[in-house]
Amino acid sequence: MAEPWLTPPEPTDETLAARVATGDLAAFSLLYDRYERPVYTMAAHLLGAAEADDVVQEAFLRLWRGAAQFDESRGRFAPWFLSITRHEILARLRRRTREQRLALAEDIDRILAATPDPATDIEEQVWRRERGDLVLRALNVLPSEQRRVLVLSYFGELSQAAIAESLGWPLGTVKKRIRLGLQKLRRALALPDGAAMGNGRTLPHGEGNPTKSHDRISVEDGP
Amino acid sequence: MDHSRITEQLEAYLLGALAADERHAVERHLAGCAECRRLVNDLGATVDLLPLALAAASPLRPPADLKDRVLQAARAPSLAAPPKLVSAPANLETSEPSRLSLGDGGMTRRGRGRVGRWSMVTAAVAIVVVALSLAWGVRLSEALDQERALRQRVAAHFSQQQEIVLEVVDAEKGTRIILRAPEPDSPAYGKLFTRPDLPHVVAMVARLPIPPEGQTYHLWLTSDGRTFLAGVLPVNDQGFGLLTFDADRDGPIYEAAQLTLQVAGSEAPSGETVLAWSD
Repeated sequence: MAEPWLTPPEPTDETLAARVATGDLAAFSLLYDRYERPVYTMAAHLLGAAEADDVVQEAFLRLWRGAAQFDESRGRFAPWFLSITRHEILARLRRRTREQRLALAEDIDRILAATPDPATDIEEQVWRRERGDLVLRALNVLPSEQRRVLVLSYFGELSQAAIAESLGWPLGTVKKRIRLGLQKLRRALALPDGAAMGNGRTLPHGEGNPTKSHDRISVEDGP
Repeated sequence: MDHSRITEQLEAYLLGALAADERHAVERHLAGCAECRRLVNDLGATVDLLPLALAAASPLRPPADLKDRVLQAARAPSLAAPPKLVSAPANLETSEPSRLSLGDGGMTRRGRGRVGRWSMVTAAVAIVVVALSLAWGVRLSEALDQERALRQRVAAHFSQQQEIVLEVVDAEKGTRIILRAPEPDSPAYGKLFTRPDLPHVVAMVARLPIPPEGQTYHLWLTSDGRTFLAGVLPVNDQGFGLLTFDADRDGPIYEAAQLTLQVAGSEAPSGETVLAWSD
């Protein structure tokens, strides 16, 4: 990772994780600020607020003890940490029935499709503009059916077959939407002209120029 | 199972949407196929960003004191010393002992001017910049221009106080004080941000009731035993208020902070205490 453009503009997550592995509590505090919201909201939507507190504490104390297991050469910090956290949450979620998981994941899909409430906490505003809005905008480039299957499988741990059965869609259609949806999301997170970085259509207050994309991505049948 | 059949299932595999036998078939294939492993790594990094989208869209908020609880637990003796398996890389400027003040970081950064200028741009942006650079061969200078443009768009959200807010709230070395309501059930809270190298102070309050006619929220701070009025916080219809001001020195330190509801023009805190913090 020595290419010039990989020089971090500030301590990257990866740098911080390396410092956490040496016992640096200040680095841990910064990483906490960056990841408290995704860990908490994922847990709170799926398990409830009380259990979400436990999940956050466990996830971050595990990180505090085990950051040395993070290997930067194998990928970035965000997917590594969030993937582990998701598996912990899903392990707790298996107590729920498939119908309950479907309902929880459908709620998440509705929230993702709606325009979020404005942030009322100043740190939250900063966090959103730095991190969350980027992915949310990319996700809302997807047609709603594609977003829905991604959300149901990712957050509800529902199989393709279960989604097909629950929604009454042919299995082949579900499979296709999963493939196309994820591929499209990946492209939307890597637009060449920076559209995914800050010019998106969901910015509050409507400022920022709508960007013409060079990419093939367009909103065909989206929400 | 053949390669092309497997590649069609990688997305579902990453989402955990395959049946057990299908998943095992993919895993067996991955063990022997470097191309599919690359694809899985690439797509997997996208999949696990979904929680960031949920966090941006969700109305749910972590409790204001959750971070303090986690840091307390991390500092507890049984957890205080994680295994020191690796020595820090030589290019990390970590020779200074870490400091922690009220939950925010104390890492060295100022002085590394190139780095400090980009304090608003985070790894999330860096991910995109990296992806852009790799995919389209964007040169470093162009990537940095894009980051600057993003910073400006981000800053444009914060009216005339924007620069101060971003400088202070996003500071690595900053301190953050949390003001709480006297009644444990109240959802209202406040935060006071300072940083050691600037005189700017940012205060915010959230989830406060709309004040009755003729009264406003007053923020009082105590420093060196003297209590003074930092300012009046107008709140919007969501109970959110923001105040920035400059202290008489860099890195002001306060012993107490108090938000009262009272009539304007008072010289001392006299009304009901809505939020408070003390050292």
